[in-house]
Formats: sequence, C-alpha cells, structure tokens
Amino acid sequence: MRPHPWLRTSVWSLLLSSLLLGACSSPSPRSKGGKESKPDIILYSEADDQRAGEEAAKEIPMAIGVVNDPALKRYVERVGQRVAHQAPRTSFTYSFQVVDQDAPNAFALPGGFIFVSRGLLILSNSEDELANVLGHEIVHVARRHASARQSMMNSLPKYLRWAAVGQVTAYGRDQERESDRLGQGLAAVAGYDPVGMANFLRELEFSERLQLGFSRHQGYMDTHPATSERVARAGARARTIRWTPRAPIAASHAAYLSQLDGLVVGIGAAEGVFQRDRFLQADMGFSVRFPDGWDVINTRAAVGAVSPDRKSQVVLETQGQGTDPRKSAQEYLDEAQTQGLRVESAQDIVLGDVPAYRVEGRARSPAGPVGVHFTWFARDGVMLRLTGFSVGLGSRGAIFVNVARSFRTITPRERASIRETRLRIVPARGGESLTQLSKRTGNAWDIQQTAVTNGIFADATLDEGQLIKIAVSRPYRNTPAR
Amino acid sequence: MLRHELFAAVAFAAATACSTTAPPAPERTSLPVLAAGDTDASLGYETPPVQNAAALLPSELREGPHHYVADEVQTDGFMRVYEISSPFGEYTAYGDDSLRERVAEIEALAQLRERSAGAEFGKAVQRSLGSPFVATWNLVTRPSDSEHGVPEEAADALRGAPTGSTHRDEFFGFAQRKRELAFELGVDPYSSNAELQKELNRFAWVSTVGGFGERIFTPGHRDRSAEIVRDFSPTDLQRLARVELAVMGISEDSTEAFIAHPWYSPRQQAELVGHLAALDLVANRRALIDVALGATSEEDANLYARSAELLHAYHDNVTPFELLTAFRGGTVAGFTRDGRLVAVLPLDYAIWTKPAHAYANTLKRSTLGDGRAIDAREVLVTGSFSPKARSKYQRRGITVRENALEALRPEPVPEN
Repeated sequence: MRPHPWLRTSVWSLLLSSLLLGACSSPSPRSKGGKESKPDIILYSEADDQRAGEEAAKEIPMAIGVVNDPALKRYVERVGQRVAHQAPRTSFTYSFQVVDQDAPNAFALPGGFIFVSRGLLILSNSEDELANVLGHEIVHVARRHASARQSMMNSLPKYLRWAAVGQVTAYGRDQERESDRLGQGLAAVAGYDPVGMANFLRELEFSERLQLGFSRHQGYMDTHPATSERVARAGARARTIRWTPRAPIAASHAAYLSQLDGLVVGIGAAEGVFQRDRFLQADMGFSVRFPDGWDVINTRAAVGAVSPDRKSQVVLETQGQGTDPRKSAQEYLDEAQTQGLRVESAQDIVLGDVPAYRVEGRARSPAGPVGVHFTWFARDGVMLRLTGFSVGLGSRGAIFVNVARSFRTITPRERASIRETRLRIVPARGGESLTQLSKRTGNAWDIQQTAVTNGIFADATLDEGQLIKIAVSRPYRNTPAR
Repeated sequence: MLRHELFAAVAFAAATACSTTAPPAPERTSLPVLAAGDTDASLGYETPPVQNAAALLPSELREGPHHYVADEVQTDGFMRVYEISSPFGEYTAYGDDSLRERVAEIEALAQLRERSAGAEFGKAVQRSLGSPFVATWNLVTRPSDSEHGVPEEAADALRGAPTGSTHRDEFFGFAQRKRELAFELGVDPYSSNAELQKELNRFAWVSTVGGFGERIFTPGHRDRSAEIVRDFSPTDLQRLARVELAVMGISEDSTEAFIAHPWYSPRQQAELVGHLAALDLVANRRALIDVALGATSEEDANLYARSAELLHAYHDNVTPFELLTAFRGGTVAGFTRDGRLVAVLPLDYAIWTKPAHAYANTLKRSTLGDGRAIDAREVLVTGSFSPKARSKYQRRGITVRENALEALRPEPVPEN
C-alpha cells in the first residue's frame, strides 16, 4: 500500500462497492465518482487497439505502479525496440515499462504497450531471456490477440457465452502457444538466442514449483498452457530456429545483472508492512491493528483483513484529498444510498485526538443482508475510509470500532523496525557452495530460492568471480523500488 | 539415428524409385509426378477422360445468376479444366479449387457492380472528387479507360490497375479497405483476375476517400489465412513470413527467394507459411519450401499451398507428423509419430499413368534410414482417383484418402 495511488479510485473500493451495492439495485451506468462509466472499446481496427491500449496504460501507474528507474526503463526499452523492429504490424508504436510488481509477470495492452514486472527481471538471467519474453508480448500485440478474443466472444450468442468459457480459454492457450513460437522467432531474427525462451520458462516453472509446491498443470479454465509443456516445446524449437547472434545491449552477463542490482525483492516496504496483525505505513506515518487471527491483505490500493469464516472484511483505503470527515462521508453516501445502502446511524467521533465520522448501515448482497460500518478520518490532507462489513444479521461492529481505534501515528521504534529486501549481485569465491555464499553475504533467500533465481543447481560448486543474485534485507528508507 | 539422416534416407529411397524416366514437360504445372505422362493403353495406363460438369458439380456451382460452366470438362490426368462464361468475361479454371475461386470472383464482381450503380455510391464518387488525395492517386495508378460515365477527373482517380500496396496506399486506408472488401466478398485481394482488381480498387477508393460506408458481406468460408491476409499489409505479411520461416529453420537465402518468388501471391505465401507453421516442431519442414521454390506458375503455387493445407489438416485431425520429406518430382510426404508415411497430392482426378505408377512404387518402397518400420502408407488427395488408379494404390498396400481436405477441414468460423 502506497500513499499516492490512494489518491485515485482504488481497485478495492470498486470491488467492495460492487459486492455491497451492485447487488442492491439495477446496474448503474455511473461510476462512484459520478462520471459516466466508459464503454468497452470494440477492438475492430488498429486505431481501436491504440485507443484502448492508451487508456488502459494510463491506469497502470496507479493500479500497479511503475519502477521509477530511468536507466532500467531505458535498457528494457532498447531491448524491446530491437525485437519490435522485426515485428509485423508496423503501424503500432511499441513502448516498454517495468511495473512495480513482485510476481514474475509480463503483459501487453492492445496497441503496443508492453510491461514487465521487477519480479520477472529478478528471475531472468540474460538479455536473451528478456528479449524472448518481450517477443512473446509483442506477438500478442502484433497479432491483435485481444481483438481476436473479443471477436470470438462476440460471435457467440449471449445465452451461450457462459458455457463457452472453456472454448475461449482454449483459444487463449492457442494464442499463448503462438506467442511463444513467434516470440522466439522475433527474438531470433533480432539476433537473440531463442533458447532464452526455454531458459526463462524453466526458471518460471521452478519458481512456481517453489512457491506452490508443484508445477502448474494446465486446467480446463487456464488461459496459459502448462509451463512444463511450454518449456519442452520452446527447448525443442530453439534447436531448429535459424538465427545470427548480434551483440547484446548489455555487453556481458555482468552488465545485464548490474541492470537489476538494487531492485526491491518481494513487496516493497513503501506499500506498508505487517508485523503480526499490526500494519505499519512508514511513508504516511501511521499504524493500524487488524483483528487477531484474520487473514491480512496488502495491495497497492488498499490494506485489509478477512475473518476466518470469510463472512467479514475490513478494508482501509483512501478517498482522495480532504480534511472534513463528515463532508467526505456525505459525498460517498450520496452515491452509495442510490445503490441500496440504508444508513441506520451516523455520528461525529474522535479517534485519539483525530476527528472522525462513523456511519453504520445495512445493504443487500447475493449472500444475504450485510451489516456495514464506515469510519472516515483525515491524515495529512488525505481522507481515509475504513470499511467493515459482515454478511448476516449478527453485527461485528465492535470489532470494526476496535480497528478504527487502533489507528495511530507510527512510533520511532516501529519505524526503525521496518526492513526492505533488495536484490544484490555478489561475486562467488572459487569452490564455494551456495550455502557458504549465503552465509558469507547475509543472503535472505533460502538455498532453493537462490538456486532457482540464478538458474543453477542448489548443490552447485561456484566458480571464482561467478556473479550470484542474492536478497539482502536492510532497514527501510524511502527510496524508489530500485 | 539422427533425424536428418532419417529423412535423408526416406528421400533417397524415394528418389531412386522414381528416377527411371524423365516425365514429359507439363503444360500448367511443373510437378512431374502429377503429369499425365505415358498413357499408352497397351501398358495398362489410362487416358485422361473428358468429364461432364453436370455430373461433377453441385448445381449452384455449375450455374449461377452470373455464370455458367461448360458441360465438357477436360482432364489432364490429375486436374480438371473448366470453361466458365459470365457477363464479365470468359474464364478458364484449372482445378476444382480454382473453379470455386473464379465463381466467387464473378459473384463478387456482380455485387460490386450492383452496389456501385446506386445513388449513394454516385454521391460518394462526387465526394471523392473533392479529396486532396485525388491528385496523389493519379501518381500511383496506371492509366486506363474511364469508368461508368464518371467525370474525367474521377476516372483518373479511379483507374483500376492494381497498384500493389505502397505506403501511400496504406496511409490513405485504401489498401486496408480493399483487403477488408475482399474478405467480405470471400475473394483474394491479390487475385490475378484483372477485372476483379479494377472493381475492388474502384470500390475501395470510393469507400475510403468518398466515405461510402456500406459493408458488403457474403457468408462463406472464412479461414485463418483469409483473416491474416485481411489484417496484414503485404509488407507485414512478409515480416511475419520471415519470422515463421526462421522458426522452421529455413535458411535466409531460401526465405528471401520464397518471399520474392514471382508466382506466389501474398495470400498464397501466407497460406503456405501459415499451414507449415501450424506443424510446430515437425522436423524438416524446409522440404516443402524447397520444392515450393520450384513453382513455375500460379497453379503450381496453389498446389504447394494446398499440399501444406493437407499436411496441416492431417496433423491436426488424424495423427501428428514427426518429419516431412520431399519426393523427387516435387511432392512431399510426412512421417507420423505412430509410424505412417503419408503422401499428399492436391489433385482433382487421378488416373493410372506411368508417372503415377512410379509414384505409387515410391510410396510402397520408401524406407526409414533408422530401421524403424513404416506401419502404414497413405496417400491423401483433395479430389478422387479413377477406379483403376485407386485399385493400383490399394494393391500396393497404400490407403487412399479421397476428398481429404473436405473431410479434414475444420468447420468454417461463423461471422457476425
């Protein structure tokens, strides 16, 4: 959770609104902010793709966040442009960004807007791998896969669409296979080793296995083929693809790794951190405690917790700028009441020495009646809204009140306790094992994670000077994701 | 044994099996194995028959509101030759596929003429006269006669010779509209039919510059290749082909020769490359590209594109191929993962001739260099065999699959 994205409409608030309010009335064409919701763009032409992509790309910095590192962005852009230069669909202008996301991920928006996550970069081990991944995304754009899927859905009678999900996802898997194949081809024609695709997918597969405990198998509803299948096919294909090597943009393996050095590993402390059930937001300078034993969730847009029986949630998020809780509450309630929220009580309160405004009410949801409990309060000109809700007639108002009351300024001791993990590149000593290197360097990853991230075996004997990616935990300072 | 040795052995066996007699020069195709060759009846060979259109064709294909196919259909041992009459001219169609294409083109011409006779189209023509692009259009078209009483300046703008797809055309949206129009009408935007080209150009020009927005849509078969041809400019199709061919391991020289080949239209290239690309990970796909480079006519190009389509259909719907190989004489076959040797022949009606005899023996004798057994031998044809030819293949232990493309082709995708 970060302060700035909160200043815009958050994903959580929209989800919550749809759960609480959408079911209470007929679908509203108006968004929470009172503006007309934008209709979906029908991706009929390249111009439609461009327009839809531009609009969606504008949301990315707020919804996911981008890594503010001009050098890294420039580097990824150069690799991407080299690959895109070979792509069909010359009418598109391609752009490349690094998103502030922990999971290894890459995605493309129609019209040529391509994003890779810092998690993906951390997992990659060469420019060849990066080029192949970017090639895969470029193919999605060049072959206008989004448009094709939209056309396919639209070609189905409405009453059959729900039943055709499997067909659509199968179609999606075919698109992924095509993107793997042509992405490898694009990278190869641009002078990159097509084996980079197989290598990266293998690292991804091992990473999945490490995270999930198993390799992801393709399910009926999956839009991607199983990673193991993709690894096997990409490896076999790489043996036959014709390509002529070109000098990479990062002149050496060391130069490539240096591009990644310093990237945040895991969720950045700028999003706020949990210490047991207490959430600490160092940049905004507050702390709040969620109910003991609830599952906590921290996203860029909001932070919250879910009860063990899944019937209750409490979410803290921003509602733009403001200093008057009652006024902000009214703005929100005006809209919410048109969508079925019934206010039962409302009062000014004080949280510590902070003025606040509390509202209790009821709404309906597909799961039945919902008790809702809102608290608004301001901090440094930003209006915060704490929303608790429980499905069923029993009230958990006291729990929500306690969460609100736990809100306070972060203490110096709490602030000092916040740590952040960053990627570091260290040279190995000749004959050293990963265990020895980890101990010597204070590596925060375990041996399996270190091996997977470096694309080597866990019991590998390292060469003198061999560069190894490790994770180093340090006290948090408010610096960019790299 | 390594794979490349394996298919080399297949190819070698094939080559020796049909190297005894040089086939006579064909008239329309360079594929010797398909040529009628020696038809001496005393040797048991058949003579190409003359067939009857009424017996061969569905009624709507034989005769439509704007065309008529002559009763007498000549054959040359493997393809049929149709004579078509229409208000737009007389056409000769070489092969069943070509007949369907020509009939679709005639219907497209009729629709284009009908739509352009309307008042809205006339207004759009007038609007197009005011376009600042008219003068530019003059620079990129070749002169021809003026059209349908359109004023002289407009006639200059609408002169119908194909211009290819220059960047200028693309810039104006003209080329894109022309491809969409061809897709809507179910025809090839790069057809060699000059009359169709002229009408497509004229209509696309008035649509683009004059703002004639009416869509034309004729229900029919819309395959993936047709969509690709609609969506990509020729330049982009070439870029796509380069990438696909690189993935297949085709050399740069062969790739460039194929892309620059005079007999392949962008659509035929897209079809051939698309079907071959669908055989992902099948070894030695260069076998088909190598023989395809030997095309010496538009008909040849079409036959190689159909060969690729046959292979693709079998790979997807019957059993996957492991590798491809070329037979001497310009035909290809595939060896499947479950041990079948499958030859593909895009022909209408095959009779028993000396080249056919040699070809059947090739299929019968071909072996794998790694000692693996060939469990079954099949030949796929787009059309059918004469009873005698069918019997001769079957006696050699070769399974004959007739009308294979029709049987294996996926259902057409419905269009909105």
